[in-house]
Amino acid sequence: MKIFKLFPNAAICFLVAGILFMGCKKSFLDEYNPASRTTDNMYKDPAGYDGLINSCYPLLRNITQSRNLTVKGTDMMCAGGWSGIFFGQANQIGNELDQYDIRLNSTTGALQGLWDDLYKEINRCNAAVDRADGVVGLDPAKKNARVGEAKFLRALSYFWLVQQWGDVPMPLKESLSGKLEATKSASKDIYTQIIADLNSAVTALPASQTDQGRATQGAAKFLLAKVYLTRGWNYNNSLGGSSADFTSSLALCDELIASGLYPLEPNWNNLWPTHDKKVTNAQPSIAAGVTTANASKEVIFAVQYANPQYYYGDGNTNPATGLIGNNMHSQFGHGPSGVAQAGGSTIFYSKLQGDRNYPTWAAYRMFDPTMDSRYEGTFNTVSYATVAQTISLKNNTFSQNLSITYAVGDTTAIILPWNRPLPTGGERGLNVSGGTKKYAVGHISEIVGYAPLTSTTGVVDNMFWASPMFWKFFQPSVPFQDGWSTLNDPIFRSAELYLMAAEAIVKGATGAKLGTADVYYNRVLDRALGTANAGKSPNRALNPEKGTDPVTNIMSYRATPANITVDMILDESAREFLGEGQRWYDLKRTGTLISRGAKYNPWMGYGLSGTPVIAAKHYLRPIPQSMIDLTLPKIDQNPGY
Amino acid sequence: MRKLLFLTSLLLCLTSISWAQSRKLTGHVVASENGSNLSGASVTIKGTSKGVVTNAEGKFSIDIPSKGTSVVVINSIGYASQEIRVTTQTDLTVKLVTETKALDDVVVVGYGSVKKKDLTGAVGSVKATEIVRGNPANATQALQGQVPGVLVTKMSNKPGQLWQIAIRGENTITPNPNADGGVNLTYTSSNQQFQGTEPLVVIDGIIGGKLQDINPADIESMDILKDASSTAIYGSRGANGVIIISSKRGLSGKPRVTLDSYFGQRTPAHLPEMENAKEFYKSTITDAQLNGSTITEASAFNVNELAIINSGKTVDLARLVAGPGMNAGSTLSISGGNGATTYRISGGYIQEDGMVPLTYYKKYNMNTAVDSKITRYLKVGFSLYQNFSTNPTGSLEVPRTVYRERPTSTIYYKDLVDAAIGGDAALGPVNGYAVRMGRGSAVNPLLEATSRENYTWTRNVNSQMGNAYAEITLLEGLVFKSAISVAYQLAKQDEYRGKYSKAINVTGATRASVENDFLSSYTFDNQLSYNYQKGKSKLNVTALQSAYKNTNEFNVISVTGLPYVSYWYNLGSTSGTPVIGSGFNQRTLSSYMGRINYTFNEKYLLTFTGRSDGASQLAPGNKWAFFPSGAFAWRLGDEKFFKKMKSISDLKLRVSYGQVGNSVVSPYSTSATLTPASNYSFGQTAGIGFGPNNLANQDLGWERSQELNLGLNLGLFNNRITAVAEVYNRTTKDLIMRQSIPTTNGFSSVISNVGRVSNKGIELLLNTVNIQTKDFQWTSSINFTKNINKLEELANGAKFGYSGSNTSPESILAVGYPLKSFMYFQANGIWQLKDSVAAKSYGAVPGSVRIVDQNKDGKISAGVLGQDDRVILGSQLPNFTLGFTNRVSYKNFDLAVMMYYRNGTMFRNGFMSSYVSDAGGGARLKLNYWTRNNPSNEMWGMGVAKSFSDALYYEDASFLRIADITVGYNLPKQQLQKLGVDRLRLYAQIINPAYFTKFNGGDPEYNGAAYQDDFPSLTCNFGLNLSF
Repeated sequence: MKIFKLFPNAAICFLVAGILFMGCKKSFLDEYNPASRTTDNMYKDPAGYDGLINSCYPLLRNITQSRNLTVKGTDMMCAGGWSGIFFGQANQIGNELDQYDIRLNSTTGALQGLWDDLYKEINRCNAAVDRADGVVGLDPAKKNARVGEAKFLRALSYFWLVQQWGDVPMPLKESLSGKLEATKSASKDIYTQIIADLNSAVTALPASQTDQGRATQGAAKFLLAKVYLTRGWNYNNSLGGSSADFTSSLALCDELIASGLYPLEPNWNNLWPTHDKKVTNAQPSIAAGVTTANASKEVIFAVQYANPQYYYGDGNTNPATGLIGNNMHSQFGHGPSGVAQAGGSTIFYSKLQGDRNYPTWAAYRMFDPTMDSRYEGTFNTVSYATVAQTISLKNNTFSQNLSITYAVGDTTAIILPWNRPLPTGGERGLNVSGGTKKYAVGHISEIVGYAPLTSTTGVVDNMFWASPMFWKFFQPSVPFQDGWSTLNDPIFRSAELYLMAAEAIVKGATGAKLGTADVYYNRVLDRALGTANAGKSPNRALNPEKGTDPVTNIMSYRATPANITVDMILDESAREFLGEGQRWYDLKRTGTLISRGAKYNPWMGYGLSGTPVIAAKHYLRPIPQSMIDLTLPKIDQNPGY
Repeated sequence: MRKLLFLTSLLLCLTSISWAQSRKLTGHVVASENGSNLSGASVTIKGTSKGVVTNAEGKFSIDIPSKGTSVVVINSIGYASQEIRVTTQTDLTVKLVTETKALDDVVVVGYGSVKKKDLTGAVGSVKATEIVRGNPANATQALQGQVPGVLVTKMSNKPGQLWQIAIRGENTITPNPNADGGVNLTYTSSNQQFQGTEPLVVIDGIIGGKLQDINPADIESMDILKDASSTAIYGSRGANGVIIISSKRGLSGKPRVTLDSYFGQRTPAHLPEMENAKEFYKSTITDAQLNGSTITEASAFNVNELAIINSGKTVDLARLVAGPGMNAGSTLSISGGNGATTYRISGGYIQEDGMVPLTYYKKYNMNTAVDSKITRYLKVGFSLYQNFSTNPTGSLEVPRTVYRERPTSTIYYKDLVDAAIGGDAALGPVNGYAVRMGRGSAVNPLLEATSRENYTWTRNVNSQMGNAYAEITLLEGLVFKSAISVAYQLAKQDEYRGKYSKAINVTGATRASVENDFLSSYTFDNQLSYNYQKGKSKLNVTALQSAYKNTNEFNVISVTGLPYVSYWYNLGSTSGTPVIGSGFNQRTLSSYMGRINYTFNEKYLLTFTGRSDGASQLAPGNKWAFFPSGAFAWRLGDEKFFKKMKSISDLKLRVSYGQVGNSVVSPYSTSATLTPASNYSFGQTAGIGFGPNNLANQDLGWERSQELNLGLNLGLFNNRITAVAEVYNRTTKDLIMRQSIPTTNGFSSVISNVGRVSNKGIELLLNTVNIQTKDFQWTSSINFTKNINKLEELANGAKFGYSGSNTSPESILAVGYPLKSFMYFQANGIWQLKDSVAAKSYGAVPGSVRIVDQNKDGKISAGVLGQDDRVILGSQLPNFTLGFTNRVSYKNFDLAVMMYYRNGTMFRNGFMSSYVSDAGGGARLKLNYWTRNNPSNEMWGMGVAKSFSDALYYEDASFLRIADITVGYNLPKQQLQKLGVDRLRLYAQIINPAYFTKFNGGDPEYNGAAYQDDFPSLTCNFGLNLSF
């Protein structure tokens, strides 16, 4: 019977063991995760919360580098290769983002990238807004300012989204679980939200930040001015705007101008890296080349690249593979001349890579090359040999069977501007029949897109230079190909305040502080003309879209109270901001995408087989296909796609 | 107080075991086959702790109660246990029968064991003789081709390789590198990545042990639980099947010593055939020019190379680098017992040398096991495994560089015609070698291979596993058992890359790193079982509570720029910035289980199991799930109407159904982690940022499989022929994988329960005694496995998807097709001259690869999956496999031959794709290349413009391997007995003597491309088995 005495004791053991695990079942199955940073353990103290706020900035790099939807397909920039159209050849095929044909549809890759990055950014900003109150020990004033930054960035992202796509889903809370449902919000509600966010950012943000590149009150006001201006135009009557918005916009522009915080640079070229045509001259170091530009007070808000150590892209700690440096210097055509390249590219002429964006032929003709400092600042029209070399013209069309020897620093090609006569006879280079110059001499009216062309009088041989190099963002000393520029991308600068104000006044805004619209406009122009030419009348081609118009067909682009129009302001912003990533938005806002685009962009004018296909539906981009595939219920595509 | 009570009652129990009166019983134990005396047999009295051992003449004497009936149990190794009821006898003669009766074999089924005839589920077994047949360094290898339904695949040729194992196909998409039995998280320096199919390994009750950590010679049997009803008792941990290892245990009796030793040589063999210098010249210049290439001799070869070509010599780097190595193993064990305490202690050593010099795998094992029946009611015991292995695998690069290098390279400096070419002159001879091989190419691999100073990579593993239990009989039939299993492993990986390694390439900064991986786990089981028998009914009920915790940690330091050759022993001397990393993860599992076995009339067998598992890595609220299963077996052969059919000696039908869960996700999948960095610069100030990196799935739950299994056991002609057939259908739903979501979430995917995959299969096992005479015996065992894997469904009704973010042809997920399929362009030979017009319309030329225009649109293009020209070409999962083992014995001689055949696996041939350069490139596999004079359809032409040429690399990797052949000789028993030796067998064997395949180049079994690999080899061993 001893057995039975044993039983209760063992049973107790069993029960105790069982209860032990039952009792602490909850804690036993709780995960223990001391090694990982998670949203829950990091975003609860001030340092961790700062990490969250900081993480809202680097995606600006990815977003602003998605230039396909902001630069291409506008009046002033396209994907290049327009020589066939220039010379009237048939069956031309270019980029769908320029031609706006059926290839521009929901599966177009560029759409997905920008869409994804913007919503990723919005989710981070949402997290920053939502989690602020849960952070223990965060100074209330600092919290306020930090939330202001997040709201500013959220507003900026939604502003880009709503301009590109119109009605879009508008999550305002951090995603805590995967949702298949994504309901669209009306554009007017999105504008209301943007304005609300910006108003609270204006209140919360300091006038200046110790950290360069953090959102400031000025940045929020600038954006708000632009939002009001855009809503005032009230695209398709869908934004809930009214003419009062123009007045609100003007007031904010005036306020920022009057603050004196963001004076215009006296010299327009100070905004860009040091440019030196003579590549054999001692080049400044990478950092020194952008010192002035990065310190410019004209810049109200810029995407930061100044410190190469923190170029690492989002989600990547590998400096080799994760670099997201500024690539503006390498994304715009054209490169230096064939001769300069023949000896191998150097650090001085860094080569193009990636998605190329080329000025349209009209863009060159918008400037007065003689007195507008922005022409030579935007385009490099002369190239020099970077290495000593001998080139052969043996197989040249003109069979001159020549060898030309260059020493370092010798001129190899020049391209004359549109307002100079076509060079003839001995004025041409040796590569052309009758030419005597040791370097190629081209003319803007002969430029051939980006490829040599054999069937015309174009400059065709290994001395050729397709067209002036777009070198506004070009940074000396950045290594060939894999180099990243350290220029901060100035996405808001005060010059635009003047043009926004002028536009608002033209649209009926009242209460201007500086005078009539032309006063604002001419401030920008006079700065570009420089002290020597201030007040003079610069001329552009009367018909920039006509590449072969006589050079005498010109018009002045100085504004007067009588002549100022929205079109004229758009011309000026083309000169001032060429390539700066806002052109598509300007044309969309002012409803001139079709009129100006089809007129000045050869591809938009060409459309399909010579007939433009751009239509009203193109003011909105198609919703990316993955959204339609993955949402439940399916999200509606924008009309017409 | 309770403790005190418990102890007191234990003491009471102990003292209560006393015997009033006793008498003597004597006896004589002999072998029934030849009447020889059996010494060392244990004789015990059932239900007591008393026991004695027979002496050299097989005699024994023992005290038994003078009144009543006693049951005497006689055990001797190699013989069936016998029980004799003693009432009045005083002297016994016991004839023990050799243990061959398969049906009475005990099969371990998880928290218990049953006789094979009472099995209701699908369980396969491998016994010791098969495990050590080929002297594997890793017991996993011994399973290959032995058990139907178990797919074992070599992962590389390196010494000490792990083997991949999958039971009944792939049930999951998500790879789980940290599955039970798998390797730890950070062991990624070599290609030993498991795919989430690793079964649970239970070694003597140590749950989650590692097969590579046990000496194969210590294993008594391996039982493999395959169907859901059998694995149900292990719940989610058994989702990929369970392998139960029972080690050899001691038997009560005199100490028994065994020594199993082998020694041999591994020799490079089956090397891929590459073009020699002359052939290389012909294909590079002659053939390419014939095909229209403008390549010239001067552009393709320098004077050093031309000298080799013209001399008629060639450089066969593989044969220069690869050299023979040792293969050896020894296990010494002592087992025995006194009375009710038995023990076994063993020590072992295994060495496997690599073919690359200075590489090897050495493993030292120690295994101790003690079981003791302290009282009639209390039994305790433990097992302890200690293991140390060291595995320098040398350079990761050597074989790859060897195969990349042209046959026109100069190896020795003195042989250079012009040392200036390629920079050899500047470097001078290093150990006599030409560093750049007269070509200016990668560093001479002989430098890396022959000197530790140039490259060393070593993995040392120290592991300990232990299990201790106490079993208390509470009532007749009611037993409580508490067991704790602990496994601990420290793996240390060291690497040094010196000046003349490929990576450092003479001028780079030297590199060294140390990585420590710690892995520990415990399982605590409390089990209550009850046996009840009344009349024809037998009932066994088991209840179990279990808790499991697994912890991984690692730390790593890596530096560059060491001032002198200090390996990893002086990392502080670096001039660079050390890279430091560490990590941690942990998961827990809590379980409650119940099982009922009911047997009626020994003919009708029923099993019901239910298990509730809670897993830490799943979302709160979804952590717990219940998995039921049931099985029924009918011993049809025991029915009266069948007994009349004399030819059928055994017939059993089985049916089982069960559900199991699988929580394949890694820990912390339900929390939102942060990006490694979302850095920004505010002017010159760093803006260190951490953004949310992934979306947490707050609803993540179990993957759930359900499986129906039908089984048949058949024995014919007195079980001379036995067969087991299984048919199963398993569907796994709620697959845990990455699901794409609208990016308005801020993320493009989230780990979710989506999709469904099915595995249907047939397994056959046939054991036959083909010939049996007095002196001659021939037995065969053949097993057949066919598994049909199919992806049934993906999220949101998608037909195609990719696993992970990789969109390469091999990561396709195609509904209706097996996992691990390839979707790519289909090659249909080579465009021939006569088809040049048609070729041109596809933008191809004669000599380029002819791709099938699947959608007949006149062009070959990739567009929308399923509508363009890409099709499913095949899958890495095999069509079927066959294992075939033959054993012949004649008098004292024995012969065993094992063959393994795998059909229908497709690989993108890594070796071929790496070593078939076009004209002007590196070394070239010898293949039938097309030329204008040779209309080959096998391989594209040199110097011909090609697109989609890689479509040719998708090859059928079916192969037949003669795995091993062993010839043995048993020294005659009579002579041995004079020496006091029970058994002495000598044998010779050859391992991997041959394989047959159409797969070009590398080993078809694992598709080696020579990177992080070793050269293939065959092994010749001589061995002995001694016991006394």
